[in-house]
Amino acid sequence: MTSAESPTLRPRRPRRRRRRPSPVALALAAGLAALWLVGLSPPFGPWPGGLWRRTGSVPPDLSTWHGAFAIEPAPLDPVRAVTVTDGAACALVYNGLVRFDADGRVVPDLAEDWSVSPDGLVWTFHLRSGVRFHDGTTLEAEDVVFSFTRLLDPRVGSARAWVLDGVKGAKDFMAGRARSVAGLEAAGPLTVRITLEAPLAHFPALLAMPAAYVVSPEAVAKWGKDFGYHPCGTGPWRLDFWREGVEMRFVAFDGYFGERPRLKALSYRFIPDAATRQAEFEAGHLEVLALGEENADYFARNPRYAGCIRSEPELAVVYMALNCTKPPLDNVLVRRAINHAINRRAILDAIRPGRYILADGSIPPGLCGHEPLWSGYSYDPALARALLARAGYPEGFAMDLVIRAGGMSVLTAEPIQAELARVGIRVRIVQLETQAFFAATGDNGNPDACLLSWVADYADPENFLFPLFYSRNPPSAGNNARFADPVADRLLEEIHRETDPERRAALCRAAEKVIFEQAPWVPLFFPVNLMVTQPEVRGLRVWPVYNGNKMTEVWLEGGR
Amino acid sequence: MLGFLARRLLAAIPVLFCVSVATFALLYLVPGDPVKAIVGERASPETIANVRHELGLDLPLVERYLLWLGRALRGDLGRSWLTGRPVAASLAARFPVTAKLALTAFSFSTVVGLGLGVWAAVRHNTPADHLARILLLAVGAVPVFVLATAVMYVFGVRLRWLPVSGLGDGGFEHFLLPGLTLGLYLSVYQARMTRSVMLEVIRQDYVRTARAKGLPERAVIWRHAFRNALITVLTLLGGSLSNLLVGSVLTETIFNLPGIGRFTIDAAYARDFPCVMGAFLFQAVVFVAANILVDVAYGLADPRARYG
Repeated sequence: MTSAESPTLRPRRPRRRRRRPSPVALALAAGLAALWLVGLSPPFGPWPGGLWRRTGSVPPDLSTWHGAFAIEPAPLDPVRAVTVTDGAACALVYNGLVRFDADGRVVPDLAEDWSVSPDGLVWTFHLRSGVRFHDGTTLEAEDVVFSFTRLLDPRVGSARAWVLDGVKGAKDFMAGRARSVAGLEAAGPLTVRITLEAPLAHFPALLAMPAAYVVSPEAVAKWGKDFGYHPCGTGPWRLDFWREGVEMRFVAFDGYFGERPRLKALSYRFIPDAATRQAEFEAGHLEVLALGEENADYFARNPRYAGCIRSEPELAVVYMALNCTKPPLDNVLVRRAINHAINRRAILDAIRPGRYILADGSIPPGLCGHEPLWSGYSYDPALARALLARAGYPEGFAMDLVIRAGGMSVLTAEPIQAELARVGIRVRIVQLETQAFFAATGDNGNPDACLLSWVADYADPENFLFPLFYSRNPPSAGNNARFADPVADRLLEEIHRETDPERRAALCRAAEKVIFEQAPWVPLFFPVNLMVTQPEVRGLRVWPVYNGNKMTEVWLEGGR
Repeated sequence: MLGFLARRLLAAIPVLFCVSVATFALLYLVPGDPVKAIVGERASPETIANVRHELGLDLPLVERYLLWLGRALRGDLGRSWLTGRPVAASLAARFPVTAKLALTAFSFSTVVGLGLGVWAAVRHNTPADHLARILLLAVGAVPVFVLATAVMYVFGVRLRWLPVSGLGDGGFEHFLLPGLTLGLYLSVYQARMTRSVMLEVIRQDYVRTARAKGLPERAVIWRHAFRNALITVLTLLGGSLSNLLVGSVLTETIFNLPGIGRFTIDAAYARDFPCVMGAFLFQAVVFVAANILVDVAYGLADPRARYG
């Protein structure tokens, strides 16, 4: 510190020192000791380990894909694959009997071909020969039976057991009344025969889901509870390492039976924050960035990324479910009035037209059945008021709209609130954190209305009708509107039986019309997938069903 | 001294016990069914019953707590319900991240905060003091995610001097930006506190005496005034350090550092009971330990203090 006094007359420093270490020195010593201890901890290597590196000077590694997951996937075990991230990661390591192609169609994977008996009950799959697991063992029909039985096993407790619960004897096995699943059978070393309880026309689509991936029984036995951290499938990629909270890395599997990956490795970092992902992308450390409302325009204007922005409709729908069992929403006139009162087009234009397509029903464009018979409710506040008066609510009423905190929900819920206020319906928006939201909208909750979205598990219009509107499905299965209509039920059951694609599509269109005439929802939007890639990314396609993508045809061209 | 430490450690036991009971109770009060979160909404009743049994959720609350406590006392914090990873291993993997971030931030903020505080106190009511106050308030008023994103863009994306985010191999450079960001906020607080404490001390008689006997100003400030201000400042530093060591959720999230803070918040959102219990207990331990250290440091800084 400088001082005003003249330094020339500096008196000798009085040395009144106690022989005790000064607290500052002590703190310093303690800090260094702590540094040292921490630096020795095994997972992260030595503390001063990295020298000062200019990150920009590292030459780009064009044989490795650098991706990011917003959330860390669940253990890479098909029976634990629930979220899109889980499924996308499992798709790299495992194969199912069939898979989705880039158009969302079901095509052969582990099974070369299959046939179905005339009554639609017995499905026979012929496996490819010579398929190897990552541990070197060869795929046999017994492995498929093992994997499917494991999914249904109540001791395993999979959240996706429902995928195969239509197999004969599955319910008995799941309830502990049988020791094996009657309908699952290895009819030969490479022949799997599956018998169903009732015809299920979209059964192959179910088999393409991550839950129905085939695992190596030897590896499951070897690793037990930790199998998901030592996954062993037949897929094009093998897990190289997985650092908790940091990164997972896959390397190409040499023995893969299908198209060999063009890249050598895939690295996925776990980056929860969207702004951080964007910064990493702009620094060139990520190959692809999913765009949202906030940054789509920014990249669209940036010449560096011209021609690098892709958009593709997603197989998903955003909607407001109206509780069909709770007054006054149990009155169809009230539900129709709500539909007529909301200017959905205006809301869509306000939040971001490029990210969404207006929805009139529940089946997204791109699925058969989407040349709808049903044309939707027009925006007509006068008609809405008239309908409310006819229903006995000329002065309107009050209701709650339950939404999930964060993200888009508020941007959608507030205009809805304003529109409904104009016809006299007083909406209270209830924002809840994720788990509380699921509790409030689940089987034990009874909300008036809630804002939800539904993402396809498989590319079939049935997936946008049966789970959402079949009367015996509880809210937890998808029927959040608690919708029940005998005509709709009959049509939905018929869809399950109908194998002819034309007639099936007609049935789906008919069912959608029957359902939406009863107005169980205010359908809002079909989301559009928007993403930007680095200029050197080649061969990347947008997959209608996320787990179709096995990252085999992607590569990186030239330098950065 | 040893007796003092022993007493403090003994006193920590009821604290930790209370924290664990309170956490346990709170976990059962918040909405959301943990089993549904695990097995999903379409699970059969048998599956739900099976999982509930396996997790011990079919037992009475008190029994469940005692079971957890018994295992915890033997060092077994259980496995995460969602990821299946042992909780203790996760904490052990994540604490070094938080510790490195905390120490980087702490060393930076202590040097800057204490230095600025003393500097401003010496010049109080001069333009320099006002300028320092305005600057500090301005920095303190910027939300952390704005400042963090800004430094990330400047040093990581544009200049490419430092990694944008993430842990990399755990090297020092990965902690520099988050450490400085976090440290800056801390130093605002520390500078303000140090300044006011110093102002108190500077007006004391012994400081006037020191000046009167002709000591250079440097010696007056640092040896006489600062040394006496240190007792109060130590409390402040101890508080800051224990706050840092239990994890800084926002900084860890934005800079993508998998530390204790993020672990705790993820576990709480997912209703992953073993992880929440483990994380809270661990944080309580760290907090108590940091406080004991501060008490020890008092004695070293202040000869009047007795370990009693």
